[in-house]
Amino acid sequence: MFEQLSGKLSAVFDKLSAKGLLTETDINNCLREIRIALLQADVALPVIKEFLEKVKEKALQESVLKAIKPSEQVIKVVHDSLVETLGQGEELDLTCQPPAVILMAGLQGSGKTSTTAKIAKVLKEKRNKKVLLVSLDIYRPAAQEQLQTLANSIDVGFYGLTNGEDPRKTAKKAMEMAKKQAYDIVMLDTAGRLEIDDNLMTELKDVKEIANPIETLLVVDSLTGQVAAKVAQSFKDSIGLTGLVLTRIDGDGRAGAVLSVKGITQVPVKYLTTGETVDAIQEFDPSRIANRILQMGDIVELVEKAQAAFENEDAEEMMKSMSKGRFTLVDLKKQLEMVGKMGSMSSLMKMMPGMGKLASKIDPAKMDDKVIKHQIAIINSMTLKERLNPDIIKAKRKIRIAKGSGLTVNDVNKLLKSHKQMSVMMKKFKGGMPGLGGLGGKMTKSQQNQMMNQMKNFKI
Amino acid sequence: MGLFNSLKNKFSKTTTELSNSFEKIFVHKKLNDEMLQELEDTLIQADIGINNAIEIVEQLRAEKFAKDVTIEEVKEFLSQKLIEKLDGFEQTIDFNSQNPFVLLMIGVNGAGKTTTIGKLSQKLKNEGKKVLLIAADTFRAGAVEQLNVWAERTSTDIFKPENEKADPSATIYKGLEFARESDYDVIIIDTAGRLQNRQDLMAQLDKMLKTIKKQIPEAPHSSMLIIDSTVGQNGLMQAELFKKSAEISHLSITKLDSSAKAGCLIGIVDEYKIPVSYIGVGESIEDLKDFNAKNFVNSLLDNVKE
Repeated sequence: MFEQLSGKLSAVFDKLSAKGLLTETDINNCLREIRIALLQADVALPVIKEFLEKVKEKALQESVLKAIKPSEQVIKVVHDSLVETLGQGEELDLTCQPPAVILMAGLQGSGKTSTTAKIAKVLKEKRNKKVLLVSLDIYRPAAQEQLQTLANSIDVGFYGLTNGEDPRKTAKKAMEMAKKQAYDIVMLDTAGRLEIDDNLMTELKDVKEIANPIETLLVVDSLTGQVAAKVAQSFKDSIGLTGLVLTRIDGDGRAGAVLSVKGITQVPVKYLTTGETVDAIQEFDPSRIANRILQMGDIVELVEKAQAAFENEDAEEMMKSMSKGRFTLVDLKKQLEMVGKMGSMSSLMKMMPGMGKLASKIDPAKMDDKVIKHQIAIINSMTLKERLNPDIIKAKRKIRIAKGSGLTVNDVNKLLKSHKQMSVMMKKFKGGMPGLGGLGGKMTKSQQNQMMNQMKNFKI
Repeated sequence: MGLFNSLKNKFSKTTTELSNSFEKIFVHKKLNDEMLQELEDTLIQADIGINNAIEIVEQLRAEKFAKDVTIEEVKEFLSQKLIEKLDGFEQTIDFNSQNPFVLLMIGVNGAGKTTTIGKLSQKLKNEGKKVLLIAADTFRAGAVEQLNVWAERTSTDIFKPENEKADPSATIYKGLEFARESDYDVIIIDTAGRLQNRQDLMAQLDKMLKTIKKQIPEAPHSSMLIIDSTVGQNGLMQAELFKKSAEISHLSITKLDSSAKAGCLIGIVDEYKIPVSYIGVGESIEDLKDFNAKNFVNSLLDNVKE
């Protein structure tokens, strides 16, 4: 998308560079391309319209018109405007007479219950709060059991076993209980509801009045399409919102819904959730979502994944041997195993800036991690002596290794060849090589932070 | 007509809105650029996707530009084009074709797999079938309990995992073994929600499929992908990757009573040729209907004149 958009924008500007002057039509052509790009990312149309006004205004500024590569300037304007519209993430505001109440709302299946537990864990562990989870979902079968199980697993309080009782009543009782037992935080998990369901929306309004929450969070699936804006607007109009939580950010959606809901409600995004486990929750970083929407790659995520996979003793050991300019097949195997841990090759490629388009061209089936597994199998079929000193691997040994790994001599040759190329490269890099570049190596915390900051400031 | 009317009522809230926007575009005048643009916008807002919207609007332009048109004519034209794309892909599951018939339910988290199973169990029970549910979502808290409530509501047998942390494949293996001892007509396997780009979870799905085949080589007789109406263009990615790894044979659309139009279905069927079986239109047990392309498209475009 990013490549496609920048390509199309370049084409628009190429035509006009002969003329040297930017006309209204030229700008409109650009805007049309940006509109398409945003639509493909599922940004809601009303939000796009407003957004394009903003872009147009900025694009008409002299700095863009006089730029040597105006198309790049326009993309920068788009990216910066995205970041601006997405706004900064904000922490939960819990400054009030305890218990502070957090009301969770959203459509069915948006991820409210899981998110409730994730936030509770953050509040308990990072902000030292005593948290009570309350289930007000009397509609979905076993919704209460789900929240209770999660509450037990993170060791926070739970209330809500009053079967089939009106949620308004339950909310009242829960508040009394929270006060008596001196809870700092009460999180009200409500049933999923459609914004057009008048009865359930009234119920939600009543619950809000009873519990007087300091935070009312709308939980939105980041894979949502055009309807996201309308849903968010309706929830805001009927109950009022103080924040947004976007779920399923670990999906391969373009997350345009984040821009839709933020653009339409103007309330800050408080959290993003990124997986099924209770720890899979993050603070919001607008730049990353902007990159995602433009498919500019999410280099920060890539670095984080790399770090998670590499932060172990293996990496340190490997780094030591590599810093001596020595890169054996033992090291290569470890490296392959680490790459395997980071996730699929195609998902990694999508995260790299400029690689998104390439990744889409490659058949995911062929990109699958069999290649890596095969290479590991080949190395596994070698003796330690061979692994440390690949030069001794000649024809006979190759045949044996091929047989042992269930692959061909040709595959063995390929592996040896790429190992050779890599070890030549390693020698060149001998010494300092922080992080990703060498696909290995442990960074110090300050190096990591420095690198993360560089990555976050990454501009086109 | 009964079904159509009930559907129409379900949809009326949102269709009124959509058709109002149609009505605003056309009174009875010559088709111009502005009208076409608004039409394209309307289609886009139904999640049809920018490329499909452009394609259809360009076809309309080619045929009717600068000619006198009425709203009915335009809607008829759009409706035809959309139905064309779905033509031949309305297909409920023939549960009589195998005995026992094994149905595997797949989808991303929160799409509505378990609820759909509940509704489907009732439907099968009404048809006199003996059904077994296998609760193979051993990951999400409360998932087994949720399916169990549906089993109780519909008086359907359920096979549950031995303990909380049981492996889903092991549960399926034992469930199918158990099923062999009784004469079930239909076995429905509930699985945990998974995002299609998560390789670890897709590998787990692959293992489940292999396990099923160990017990019944030609099973599953259908793998059904559940798609949430509110999803945007990611619906296409879901269809593509689940089709690749789990040989999806049928689709069902949930939450069609929401404001979303599930327009991504047009692209999914067009591109991946997967038949659509059922639609979910509410939270009660009878809110499962056979998919009907014409009604689906009508609800996407139809205006309610009352």
